[in-house]
Amino acid sequence: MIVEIFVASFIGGLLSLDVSAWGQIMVCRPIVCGPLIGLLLGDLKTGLIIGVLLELIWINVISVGAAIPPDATIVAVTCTTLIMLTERMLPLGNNFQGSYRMVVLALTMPLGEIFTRIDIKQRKLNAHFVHYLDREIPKGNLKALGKVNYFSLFLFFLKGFLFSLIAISAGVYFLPKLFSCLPYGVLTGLNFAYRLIPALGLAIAFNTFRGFRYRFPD
Amino acid sequence: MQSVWNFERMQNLGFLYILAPVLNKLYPEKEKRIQSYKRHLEFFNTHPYFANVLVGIVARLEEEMAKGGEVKPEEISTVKMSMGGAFGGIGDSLFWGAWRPFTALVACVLVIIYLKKWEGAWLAPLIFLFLYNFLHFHTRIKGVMKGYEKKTKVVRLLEKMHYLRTIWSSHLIGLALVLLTVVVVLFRDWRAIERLYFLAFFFSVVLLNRWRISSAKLLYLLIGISCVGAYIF
Repeated sequence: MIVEIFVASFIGGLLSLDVSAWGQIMVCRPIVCGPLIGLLLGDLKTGLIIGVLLELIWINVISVGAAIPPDATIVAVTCTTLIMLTERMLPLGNNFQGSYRMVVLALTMPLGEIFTRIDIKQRKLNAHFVHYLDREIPKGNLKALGKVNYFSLFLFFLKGFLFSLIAISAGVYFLPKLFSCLPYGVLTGLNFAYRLIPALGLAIAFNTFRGFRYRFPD
Repeated sequence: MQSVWNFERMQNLGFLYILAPVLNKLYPEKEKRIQSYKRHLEFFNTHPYFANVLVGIVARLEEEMAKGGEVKPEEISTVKMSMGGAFGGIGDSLFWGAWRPFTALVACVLVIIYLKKWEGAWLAPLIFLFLYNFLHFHTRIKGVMKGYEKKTKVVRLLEKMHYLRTIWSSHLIGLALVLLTVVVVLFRDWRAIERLYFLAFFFSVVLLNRWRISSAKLLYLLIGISCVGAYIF
């Protein structure tokens, strides 16, 4: 269990680099990192389902210019890992599997927002590196440029790694306890909500593509 | 490229880091090299994929300046500012606004429709990565070459990229795919009342989302409604 938590957080840290700091080949999208985590923890299909649900919900989230949107990657990683690790601890059966997944989804959603706050803090901190180089480069210390780039990349990784480590550990500890407190009516409702989530995702995708502003170019 | 992205001068350090090998080669004397580094510490921001075009152009201009051409440092700075902004706008609407949602939707639709019948549904993420990165790497590699080759005339090439047509058609096909998926999902072995709930929820989200209610809030709304509903019925 502990090894699995560490592996998942490590992958989470690496994937969160792809959001903006390095590469941007889009392995950070939920549709890729859901199945990837699933593959590592031994259940590809569940990972695929969660990845698709989250991808559809966040399909319209784009970073225009300097704006930083809520982070879908960290939510996908923590949500998939938590579902995989804790589902085996609970006697769920087919009836309540959906409701449990809804609980995890609902509780991990705000993590994206929190992670973005941390991200903004870090980017403000990055301005210090600029001032540092403003001082160092006129002195002739040109090697500092590469060092600063790699150090900042490492900080990005550390942020994703630690954040998912804390979130996953807390989730593994609290989620099963929380779930066993929920009354039967709520569970039925959650199960129903789980079946309707594709409608939510598809409607958001519909809105994303409906808003095209361009006439067909001649 | 964006690892030292900061709110003050945005991508300046990433840009300088990519350009550094070129500058090192062009200015062997330490004094000139320091001067050139200092010039590129200025503000810079664009779309990360199109930054390569700028790298190509600036490398060419620096080369001409180092060889004693007529290029002035202010000119390079102006090129970076103006073209960075323009490419930023195009890149945001092409990659973030159209191509990524479209390719992601294709993968999602494949999974939703085929998950139960087809063993190879796990291929969908790979299809997404392949489709997306095809255009991505094409832009990056072509960008740096053409930027170096044609300098600022590279803008003409954008017309040949038909990026407006790509945006337009990916939006249209995306819309059709969403509707197709809704129909396919509706024809599953559900009870009539469930189909009705699905459609009602679909259209209410379409409406609510237009008023800029975020998807997370809509998710909580769904949970709330269905829990209350479960107690009533």
